[in-house]
This record gives sequence, C-alpha cells and structure tokens, in this order.
Amino acid sequence: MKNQKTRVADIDRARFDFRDSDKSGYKTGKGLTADIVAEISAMKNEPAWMLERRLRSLEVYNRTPMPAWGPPLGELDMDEIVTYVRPNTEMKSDWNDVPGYIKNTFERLGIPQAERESLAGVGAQYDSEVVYHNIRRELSSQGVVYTDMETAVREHEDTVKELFMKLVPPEDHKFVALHGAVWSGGSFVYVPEGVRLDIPLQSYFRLNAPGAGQFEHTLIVVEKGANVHFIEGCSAPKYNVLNLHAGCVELYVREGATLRYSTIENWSKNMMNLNTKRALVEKNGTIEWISGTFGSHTTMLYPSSILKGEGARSTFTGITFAGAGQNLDTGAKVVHLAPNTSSTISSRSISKDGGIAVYRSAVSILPEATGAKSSAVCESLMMDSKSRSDTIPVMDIRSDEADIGHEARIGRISDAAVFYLMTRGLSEEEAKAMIVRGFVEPIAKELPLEYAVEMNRLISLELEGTIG
Amino acid sequence: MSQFETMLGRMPVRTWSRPRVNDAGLVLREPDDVSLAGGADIRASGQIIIKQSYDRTAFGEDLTGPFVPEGLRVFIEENTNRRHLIRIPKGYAEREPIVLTLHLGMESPVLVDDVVIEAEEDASAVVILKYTSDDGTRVQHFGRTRVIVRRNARVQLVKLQMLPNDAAHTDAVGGVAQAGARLDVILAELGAARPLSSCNLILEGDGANAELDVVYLGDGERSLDMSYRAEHRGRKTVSGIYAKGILMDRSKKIFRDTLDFKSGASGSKGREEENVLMLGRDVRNISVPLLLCGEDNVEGEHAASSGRPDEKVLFYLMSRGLGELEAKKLLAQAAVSSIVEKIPEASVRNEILGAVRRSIGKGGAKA
Amino acid sequence: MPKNLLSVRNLCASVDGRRILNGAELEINAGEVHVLMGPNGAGKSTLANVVMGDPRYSVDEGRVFFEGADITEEKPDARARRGMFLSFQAPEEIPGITVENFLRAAKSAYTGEDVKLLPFRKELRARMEELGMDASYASRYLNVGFSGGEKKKNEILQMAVLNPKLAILDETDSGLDIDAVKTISESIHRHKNEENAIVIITHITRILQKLPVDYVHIMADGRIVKTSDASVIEKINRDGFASVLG
Repeated sequence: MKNQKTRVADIDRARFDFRDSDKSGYKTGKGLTADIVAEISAMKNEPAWMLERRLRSLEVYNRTPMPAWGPPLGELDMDEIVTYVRPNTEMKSDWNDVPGYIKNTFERLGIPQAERESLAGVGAQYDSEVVYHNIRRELSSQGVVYTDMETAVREHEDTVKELFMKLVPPEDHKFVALHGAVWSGGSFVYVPEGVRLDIPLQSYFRLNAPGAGQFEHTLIVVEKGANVHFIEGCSAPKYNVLNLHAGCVELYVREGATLRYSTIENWSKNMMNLNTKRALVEKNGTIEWISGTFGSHTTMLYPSSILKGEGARSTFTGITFAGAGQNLDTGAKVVHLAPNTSSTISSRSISKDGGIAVYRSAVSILPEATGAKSSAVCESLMMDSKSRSDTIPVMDIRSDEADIGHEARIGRISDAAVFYLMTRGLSEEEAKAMIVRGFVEPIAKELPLEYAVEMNRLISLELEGTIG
Repeated sequence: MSQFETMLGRMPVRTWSRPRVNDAGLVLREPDDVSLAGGADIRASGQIIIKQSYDRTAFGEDLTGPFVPEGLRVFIEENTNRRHLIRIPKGYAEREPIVLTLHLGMESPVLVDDVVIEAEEDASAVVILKYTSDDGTRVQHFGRTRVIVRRNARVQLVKLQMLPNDAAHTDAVGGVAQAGARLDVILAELGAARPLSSCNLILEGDGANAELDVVYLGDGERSLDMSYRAEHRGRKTVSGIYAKGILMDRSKKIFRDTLDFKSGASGSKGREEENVLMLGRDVRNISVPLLLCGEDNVEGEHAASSGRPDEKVLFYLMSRGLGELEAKKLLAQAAVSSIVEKIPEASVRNEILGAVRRSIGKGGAKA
Repeated sequence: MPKNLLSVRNLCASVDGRRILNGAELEINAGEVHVLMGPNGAGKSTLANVVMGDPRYSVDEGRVFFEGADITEEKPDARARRGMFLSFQAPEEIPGITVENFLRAAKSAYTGEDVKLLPFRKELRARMEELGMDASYASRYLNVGFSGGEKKKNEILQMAVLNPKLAILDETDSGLDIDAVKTISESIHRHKNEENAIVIITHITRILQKLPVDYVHIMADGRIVKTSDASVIEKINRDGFASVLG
C-alpha cells in the first residue's frame, strides 16, 4: 500500500508541473538588479519614497512566478527587457527596420510621415506640443491637471504618493511588479470637483514622452461630480523594438463622478501586451470602459472595476479582433462591494486566419452588495475553422439579493444573412464586411467619430483578402 | 486505512487563481479491506447481459476526460469492490428501466464502484443507478460510470445520489455517442458533505446527440463541486447541458460546464443553461460556463441566471392560501421539475422531489 | 412580342440531398403580373430562392435565364444587379446596420453609381411615407426587433427604392392586418409598369384585389402543374387546390 500511495501522488503532481518547462529561464528575473532600478530613479530625480516603491516592486517581481493560466508567454525575452530598461541604453531603431506591413498600414490609414516615425518610435518625434499646449491652457483655467507622470511625481507629490500603485499593488502579478520597478512615462490627470470636460483628453499627445508605450503609468482622479473622457492610444499600429508592453492604469472615480476610459490599441504584431487597468468607483460614480484590441502578438488585458460605494456603476464594452498568429486574451473583472451597485459587460470578438480570441471574465458579488445587478453578454464570431474562440467566465455570487444574468454565443456569419444582402446587390465580400461592421457597431458608436471611422477602416483592412 | 490528499484538475482550461475554481483537493482513503463490498440489487430482464467483471482495457480511451487525473483513476481501478458490466444487445429495446441499487452501511462503509454500460447498435435502454446508505454510518463512495452508445443506439442514464450529510462522494461519468446515437445523462446530486461530481460526454459520430441534466441541492453546510463537459467531434452533433440548482443555509457550490467544439465538428450545436434558486443569505454560488470553439460552422450558446424566488409569484401562491414555506417548497419543486419529469421511474422522481421538499424549512430557509 | 425577363427551364433542385424542385418551368415577360399558388411544401419558396441564387440549394438539372442570359451559375448579387429582387418570407435581421445605410449601399451596388446622401435620404423618406412607415425606421438596425408586418413593409420599401425589373414577392402578405395588406398592395401597384414584372407567391388573395393578374400558376410536388388566368383564383378560394389539381 505504501508504494502505491507514493506512485499515485507523484503522477498527480506531474500534471501541474508542465507549465514550468517554458518559463524556467526567467524565474529569477536575472539581470534586473536594484542598481539598475536605482539608476532609473536617479535619472528621473525621484523622491526617496518612489525609489523605495520601485525596489519593493523589484523584490516582488523576483519572487513572483509567471501566471499559471492564459496564453503562452514563452516568446518573452526577459534579458532583452532588462537591457532596454537600463538608462542610456543604445537601442535606437531605424525607419528602415520598421516592418513593411506597418509602413503599409500607415499609408492606408493616411497618417503623415512625421507622425508615422513617431508611432514607430524612430527618428524625429512628432511635434504635438503645439496642439497640446492650447488644450493645456484651456484645462488649467478650470483647475484640471494633465501632465506626464514624471512631472506629476514632482509637482503633485502628495496625491501621487497617496494613490500610486495602491489600487494595483505589485503583488497582483509578475508583470505589474516589473512595471512598478521600471515604470516610465504615462499620464496624470486630476479633474477637480464638479468640473465637466466636454472634449476628451487623449494620451495620443503624450506619445513622445521617453519610454511611453512600454511601461507607462496612468493615474487619473476624477473628483466628486466631475466628468471626463480619456482616450488612450490610437488605431494606427505602434511599433517598438522591445516586444513587451506592461503598462498600468489606476483610476479613482469619486462620489457621483463619471469617467469614460477608451482604448483602441493596435500594437505591432510582435508585441506581448500584458497590461493592467483598474478603477475604484465610489458612491453613485460611474466608470465606462471602451476597449478595442486589434494588434499585438499576445494580449492579456482585463480592465477591472471595484464598485466600492453604494450605487456605483460600471460598463464595459469591448471588441477583440484576432488574426493570423495572434492570441488575444481579453475581458473584464467586476467586484461588487456595496448595495445597489450595477455592472454590464458587453464583449464581442472576431477570430480569423488561425487567430485565437479568448474572452475571460470574473464577476464577484459580495454579501454586502444587496440589490446588485450584473449582466454580461459575450458574442464571438468565427471567420474560419482554422481559428479559435474561447469563452471563460467566472461568476462568484455571495448575495441572494442580486440579479445576475450571463449570456454567451459563438458562431459564424450566417449564410442566410449573406444571401439576403447579396440579393440586394452586395458582393459576398461586401456583405460579410457589412455584417462584421454591424457586429462591432456597439463599440464604434461609443467612440468619438474620428476613432470610429478609423476603427471601421482598420476592420476593412483586416478583412481584406481573407473573405471570398 | 492509509490516506493521502491529491489535487483534481476541474477545468478543461485554467483561469484566474481567485476565486479558486481550477482545482479541488481530495482526500483519498484506501479501504483496509476492499472485499467488504456493500449490497447491490439489480433489476433487469433476461435479455440484458450483466457481468461482475470485464476486460479493463476493452473500452479504449478514458471516457471520463480531463476530470479524472491519473491518481484517481489508479485509485479507482485498484480499489474497486463493485464492478458491473451492463450490455444491451444489438437491436434490443429494453422497455423497463434497468435499476442498480448500491448500498453502503455499517458492514461496508467504503464503496468503490466501476460500472460500464454498453448499448450495441440500434439497442436502447434506461439505466438507473441509486446510491443509498443507512443513517448513522460515515460512508465513502468513489465511483466511475462509463457509457458506450454504439451506432443509432439510445441510452438514458440516471444517477441518484442521496447519501447522508457526512458522507464522502466522488463520482465520475464518461460517455461516448457514436454516429446517430443518443445519450442522455441525468444526475441528481442531493446528499453527501462535499460531492465531487463530474461528467464528460463525447459526441464522436456524425449526428450524435448527448444531453446532460443536473439537479443539485445545497442545504446545511454542503459544498458541491461539479465539472461537466460535452465534446463535439462528429459533424452535425447536438449537445445540451442543463442544470437546475437550489442553494440554501450555508451551502456552497461550484458549477463548471464546458462545450468544446473540436475542429471538424461542422454543423454542430450546443447549449448550456444553469438556473439557480437562491433561498438563503449565506450561500456561495460560483458558476464557470466555458465555450471552447475550434470550428466556425457551429452554434454554441450559454445562459445563466440566479436569484431569489420571484416576489410576484410568491404573492400569487400565497393569495391562494398557501403559507410562505409551502409556497417556497412548491417553487423549489417547480424549479427542478423540468428535469425530474424526464425520469421514467416514478419512485426516483418522487425521491428527488421529496428530498427537495424536505430540505426547505429544515434550516435557514425557514419562512 | 413582349420582352422576356425570366425563363425557368426544367429546374430541379435539392437541399441536404432532398429533392424539392422537379422540373419547374416558368416564362415571365415584361409588363406581366404572375401569381404562384399551391399547397404547403409544393416548392414555391424554393423556386423563388433558387431563381435568386440561394447557395443552400443545389441545382441538379435545368437552367435559369434572365433577359436571355444564362444566370444558373451566377451569384445572388450579380442577379440582383441585373434587376432581380426577392421579398423574403422571413427577412434576416442584421444588427448594427441601419436601414438607411444598408439601402444606400444596396442602391449603389444595384445601380453601380455613387448614391448621394441627401437626395437619397429625401427619396427614402418619400417611399417610407407612402408605406406609412415612421421616419425613425431609417435609423433602426435592419429588421432587428421589427414585427412581422414591419419586416414585410421594409421588404417592399427596398423594392420601391431599388426599382427592380423583376420582383418576386414571397408571401409578403402573410401575417399582415387588412390595412397593411392594402398599403403594400398599393405600393406594388405604384411600382408596376410595362417595363417590369411581378411574381406574387400567396395563400390569401386579398393582396391581388387591385392588381391586374395575367397568369396564375399552381405548383405541386416541385413543379408547375397548371397555368390559367385570374379566374381560377376564385375557384381555389371556394373549393381548394384539389378542385383545380384533379
């Protein structure tokens, strides 16, 4: 009996070891040292507390294993990342090295040459300061702060010290710990009580901050009754030599405030996009996430809403388009902590040419969240049988006084719908493109017009040559 | 009695580490003497072939799928004290349900059963497995049931688990439906302390049909852990996973259901649906409904809902003179009735409905 | 000699290996109104769909000609651009695409010309008004959440806007109240001229009251078994199909 027991237990353990084989190389995060982190901090003239936080994150990073779930991350070369984050590194790239398909897309989207080079992270940087300057003047007259994260650490030290990586602690996962140690660039936004901004703030104008688009940190505080729309990224493909993006977004939505956070991301197809976004919503506040994921090689992105105050609301509207070679693992998380909180999740994905789209979510209703409401609708469109589409939601309900609904559907474009449109004179390609555009319409209609137009153009580009 | 703890993977695809849904810990206690099998009572007509043993390698791949790891499989195979093969011969349609009652008690506190049901081509039958126990004995049950439904055959398997509240219960069902075959499985998980229930259905042949219906009852401190999956391999296959649950007192449940469309399962359809009736403030209700899809020409759907009894319906029933407790009993009964009605044996239907009614009003669900 | 629009010759078609059409024959000239009747399952809708090129059916034998050109192998969009139109019995719902955007894209595909937004919008409003449709329908998603009657009106709206040479109306009148049938019937009447033709598939004949019906075809078992003038309609209404099939 003794022998048998050992054998059984051994076999069993082996089942859970298989993931280690592809990550053994960077268990210790070799190469990233306290010295390098201190050097980064010194370069930025940071106060001592920020250096301490960086060093604590580094410790967490070194002891945290890779995630035991989600898409494979074997292509990450952590040594290269360390080389890149070291200050004064010689890692300048050349316009000639930018892949042809990206240059081509720039052209198709009609982006000016100067801007293209900035998006590709090479050569002369796109000078957005003029545009940005005017906006800044208008904002400051209302007491709104909109600046880069480094400046915020110096000029708004108390606020940053109180809130920075408090909502997303480094212990959350390995990549946010790495972020905490080496972060650089990003935006800081402070909207005072009662201020309602009509024009959206766009991080686009901040792209030329050094290190932006890699480990950038975004911290937004929307005070009581205030209202703002923040737009991150843009639909043009962004190219970086380094293939890891581990940004962090922390959003504080105070009582009765509303924050809409929109992202259309189109990283180049070599990028591992492991991004963390979280919002804390107080009484009667609202967070609205609009999230479009088109680019990258691999994405893990699940914007989270913590509904802390009574009546807090969260809506998530997401679209993911996975093409050849892409593994896009996206979704949302919501934690209902207070009575009468409500959340909706509406997610759509398209997979084609062997692309993998995964919808992953977690909705938790805690016992004190009486009268909470949550509904999720998740639809996945399969363009061919080479592709994959998986739906992996978790619902954890601990209140009997909650109203919970969840629906998911997977399928392809209906032949009958294509026939119907073709009988009205549209070609098969046009008919399918029209159905796909209709499928993403719930997202497009939430975006400012120029972004919606860009997104539709992007979809047409992605669909070209694959249908018919 | 030597014992050790093992970890069962409960998800076909892993996800977040919190809440903990990926694995379940399981204490395996090896029986000191496996010869102490409990009583078994079989009711079947003469045409049905029933054997106490069979060739363990005769049934190809392990039908129980991802839910029975190597450790548990070895444990079951080496400790089985009840082994049954039920074979329905080619072309034979059995009219009366075949009923196998497995009894645990003082004399036989550990049951490790391994049952194989095989319906040959064009055969059909209903098989009912009942697990019962004397009160006052701490019993343990580990079971595996495999069902092979050959071409154009039809099997309905009903498993009724009504063990005492302190019983250990780990059960795995695996089934395969060949071309044109139909396999229906009904599981009633109504007892035990921490039932670990799983079912894996493979729709192998073109035009195969498989449906799993689950009734579960969480009362007292019960913690249910359930993992179910339908895998579409053949073309034009149709599956359904439907669950009706009732949770009350301090009970907890994790319900995982997966539709897995493999590449090549063109023209297939699947639907998952879970409805939970919450009758207590202190319950915990976790659902993990997966849709995995590697084929474009399929339709997969999931829907889940959870909530308290509808106030309007309660009011309506009470306006007709029913007390609140009786009204709740009626609603609980109604919640599971769509599944219970599919069971052809009246005594089993009544046992399930009786257990549901008895559970309400016992503890925290009191009016 | 009137101009031939549609010529269906010995058309045999099946779905999932099941034969539905068994040698259907039909000749339609410009300026004519045809009615297609027959018991359920006779193959009326199948004939309409196969003529329009529905890829779910396979054509086993026979040919379909439009204005003399063999279109048997043509895709549905090519047929549409020739001037053919089918009003569906159960029109598809397409979420995310508004009626106006869809019709403008279709009009542009139909005519092969750019369709200017403002004149098109004006025309669409006028056509909608004729059909008693509220202007708000233009910005609703195509058929999504439409009642049965609204869907049928939307089909006729599409016919009015696209102005096809041959319109096949598959049970466009079923499930409609008296007023709606009247509105649709009037719209068909307005559309009708000496250059185009209409085929009406129907069970009830109220829709025909104001239309000059030239031919009535009775279909059974996948082919047209009898063709007569409008007088046969009354007989069918009174005595059923058996009386004319026998």
